[in-house]
Amino acid sequence: MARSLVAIGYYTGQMVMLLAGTMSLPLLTALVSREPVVALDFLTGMGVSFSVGAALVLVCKRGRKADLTWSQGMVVVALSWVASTALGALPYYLSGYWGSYLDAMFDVMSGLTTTGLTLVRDLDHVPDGINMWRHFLSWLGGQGIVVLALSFLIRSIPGAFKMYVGEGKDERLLPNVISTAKAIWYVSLVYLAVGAAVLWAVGVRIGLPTDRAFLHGLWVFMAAWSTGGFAPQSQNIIYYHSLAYEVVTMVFFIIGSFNFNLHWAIWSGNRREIYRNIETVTFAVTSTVLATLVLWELSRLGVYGDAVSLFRRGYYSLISAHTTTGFMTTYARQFALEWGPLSLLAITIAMLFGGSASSTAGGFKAVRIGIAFKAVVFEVRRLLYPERAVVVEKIHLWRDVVLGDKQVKSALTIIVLYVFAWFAVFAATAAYGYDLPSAMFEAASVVGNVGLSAGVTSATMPAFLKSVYIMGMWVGRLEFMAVFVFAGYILRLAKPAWITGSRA
Amino acid sequence: MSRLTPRGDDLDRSPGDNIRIGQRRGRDDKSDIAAAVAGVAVEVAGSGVLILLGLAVAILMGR
Repeated sequence: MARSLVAIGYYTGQMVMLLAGTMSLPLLTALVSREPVVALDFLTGMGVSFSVGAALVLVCKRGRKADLTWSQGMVVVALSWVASTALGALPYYLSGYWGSYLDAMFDVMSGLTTTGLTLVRDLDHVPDGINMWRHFLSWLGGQGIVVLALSFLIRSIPGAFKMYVGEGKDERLLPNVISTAKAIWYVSLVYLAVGAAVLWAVGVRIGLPTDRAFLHGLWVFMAAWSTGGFAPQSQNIIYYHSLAYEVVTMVFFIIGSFNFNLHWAIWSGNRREIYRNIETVTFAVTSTVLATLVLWELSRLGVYGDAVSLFRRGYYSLISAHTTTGFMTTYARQFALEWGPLSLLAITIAMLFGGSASSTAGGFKAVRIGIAFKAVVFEVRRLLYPERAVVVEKIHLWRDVVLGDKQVKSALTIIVLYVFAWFAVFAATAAYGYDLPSAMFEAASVVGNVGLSAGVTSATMPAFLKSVYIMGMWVGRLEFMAVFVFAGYILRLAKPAWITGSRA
Repeated sequence: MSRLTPRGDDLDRSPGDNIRIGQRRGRDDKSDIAAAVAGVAVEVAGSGVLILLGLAVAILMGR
């Protein structure tokens, strides 16, 4: 057990030191924007984070050459996310824009998990350095802290793949996991350059000053690509009052919700994959069906007067929910008060379905929905055909593969776990007296790492509920396994071996 | 997809170690940029199709 702890401590320490390094970007932003107090907050945050990380690395230096087991890799990931949340909140708290340390941690977890719910006060006057940290955290979280570490810090460690899997990405783009991490950054940085430039141009076109248009373009792109949903203004995307801004953000958060393997396949010349892949096909079908329901209900209720408004409010919200982005072109309470039960239900389902696996998106993931649907089709076909007939169901995921029991079991298990987590968060919200539709909606937004709000999430909500939401976002982003293994590890530490009957 | 049953060996030190991004299949930098541009174009077109589909549904429902 001691050897295991040393290995976990060493790699967690490295992750924490890396977090300290990432604070240099908001620090630089604060200095350029002449915000000395904010710069001091980030210097303090960097100092504390680096000290904690360095202390862990020094104390646990014997763990440097340890070959991580599956459980240790998962524990490192879960623990790194907790440590990053606790330490990344320091500059937020020191800035005074968050009411408590818990609120600051809520926003860091929301950023890292690419959720986008926020408890910040007076967002419209938040300094540039803080805004940079909000959106940069979201960007880093979308890539994955482990992906960041594998790209820039950890050259080559035995067991790197186990950490990579623990963070919700289970397929490599290239044979080597470190090359895969670099490829993910390569794709994202190309899109960052393209996306920020396009949004900058649109921002200037709609009348923002050039420097503000650049910062808004950069931040909004970071939030769109990472399907995060943060925005620099409290009105979110409504602030821009621009169809062009809405369409451009929609393009980038749809692409952001694609599997990194899909990006790599297309960029490597396999362009037909975009319409053959089970994930894109599933996403196209579910989003069209759910959009039809939402727009039909909104039209029936007469919430919006014309097709353009239906598209800009209804369709945008649906796709924002389905890709788990959380950008809003409506006010939060409009969902609960004006949208009607069918629209609310469709958006809730979209949030739970989510985007693609191995992407920045949350939710069940399209591949699992596709596999579950194919499994149902398989069972029906098996019953319809003669008993001796050999029935085979195929899916296209990079190549045609025969659907097996193992894949179906794995997909359904994660879906069931998501439903349990959603129900737990929903029950906790409802227990505090929030109306049931809003509680259902908010719980789906939390567990699916979406960020749309029906008005429940606010700085005045109960502290316990804030903690439940933090847990919900964490569990949803890491897709349960890393968190379960972490919990099991803690239990093992807390109880003597003769009770658990296990060894380290 | 197979998170519950981790598959495969740890290939951290596979022959892929020596493959550098941008030099797969003997590519040079220029063809790499062309591949990235083409990839971005295909993905933007793909998301555009989905957005147009949504616009069509909105027009249909808004009539």
